Amino acid sequence: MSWAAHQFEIYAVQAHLPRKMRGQVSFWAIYLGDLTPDFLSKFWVYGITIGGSHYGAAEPHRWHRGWPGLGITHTLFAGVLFTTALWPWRRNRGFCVGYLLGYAAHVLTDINDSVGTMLLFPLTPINWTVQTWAYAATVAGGKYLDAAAYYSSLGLAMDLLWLSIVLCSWRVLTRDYWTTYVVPADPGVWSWFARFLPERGLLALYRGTFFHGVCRMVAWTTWTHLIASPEISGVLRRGYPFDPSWTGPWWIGVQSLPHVNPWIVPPVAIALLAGVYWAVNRVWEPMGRAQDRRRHRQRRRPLTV
Amino acid sequence: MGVGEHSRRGHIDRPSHVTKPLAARAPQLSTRKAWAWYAVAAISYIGAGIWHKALLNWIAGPLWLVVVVVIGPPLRRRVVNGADGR
Repeated sequence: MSWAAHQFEIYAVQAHLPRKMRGQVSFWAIYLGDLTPDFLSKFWVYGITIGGSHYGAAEPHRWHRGWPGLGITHTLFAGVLFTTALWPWRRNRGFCVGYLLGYAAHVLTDINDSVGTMLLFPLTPINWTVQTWAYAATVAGGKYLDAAAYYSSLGLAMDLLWLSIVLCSWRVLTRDYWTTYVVPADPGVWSWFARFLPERGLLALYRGTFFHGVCRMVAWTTWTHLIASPEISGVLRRGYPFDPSWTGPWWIGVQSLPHVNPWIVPPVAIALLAGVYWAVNRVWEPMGRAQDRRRHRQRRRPLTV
Repeated sequence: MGVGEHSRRGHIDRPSHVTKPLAARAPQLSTRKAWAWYAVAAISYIGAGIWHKALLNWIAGPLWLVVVVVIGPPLRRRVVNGADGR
């Protein structure tokens, strides 16, 4: 799984919206879309321990990304399904498109660990993975070992890559960008928050997920390499060994599910990402017309006392 | 400012439906002070997070920044004014 990459990709999506959608796609929808896959599936991956008894998935990787299991939450199919369910609720194209883009970003980023995601579900339940680093969530290791493995492998490079993508689009973090593009897309939400927070607080709220991503990356990397004292292969160490090799680190067992040849995954993932952008571009105008029709009908509806 | 025009500082194209600032009731921080408060939030959050990992979650992280940036400046003013005997 990916860690801070999921926080950074929200801002990367926001910064790279098609030109005609800028100022109209909801930032909070991108955020929710990116959050949904793990929100629905991850609670049982690490599980909880009460009174010495562990409650959680027996095989976390199968539960998280496989079928049967909640691997369906990490599919583009689920993203489209949830978006389709959201549309009749408010007929808000900015929210629906943002949600789908956020969801797709999460699903496509997660192809990088050794388990990957079911990209073409329900056509096939096979997983698509590049195997860049080892999926390390285990019953025994829990969150700490998962973090240690991720921040000792190319996972850290993935976080830094997404961070650099956001920093290359640094204007997305500025106050000017926020007032110009982010607030107009979600005026109701920001107005509600403005009842409790001054403007500097609202801006901090917008930047908060980026802040969280940077801080959790630094905190977990520091703990992994400077503070933890693991015993690996019978040797007590200061810090987990760093291993930037493919599907590393070497000191953790690689979890995997039946998957396609990793070489075909990048072009297919890029094609799917392009397909998602193409699709939202195509439906943008029809959704806008449907949204306008609904608003028009609501304005004409007589008041009943 | 119309569509396709650029703001002086950020070179951002403004769409036609730009809104005014939402909440102008509290004074804006200067850029230098804002950076300082963000740095305070980052250092304190990373420090706390390393020793209490439960803090490193998607609710506490953004909330930490908001609390520091909103409460920090007036709290500091009050402490400094108190120390000056005013």
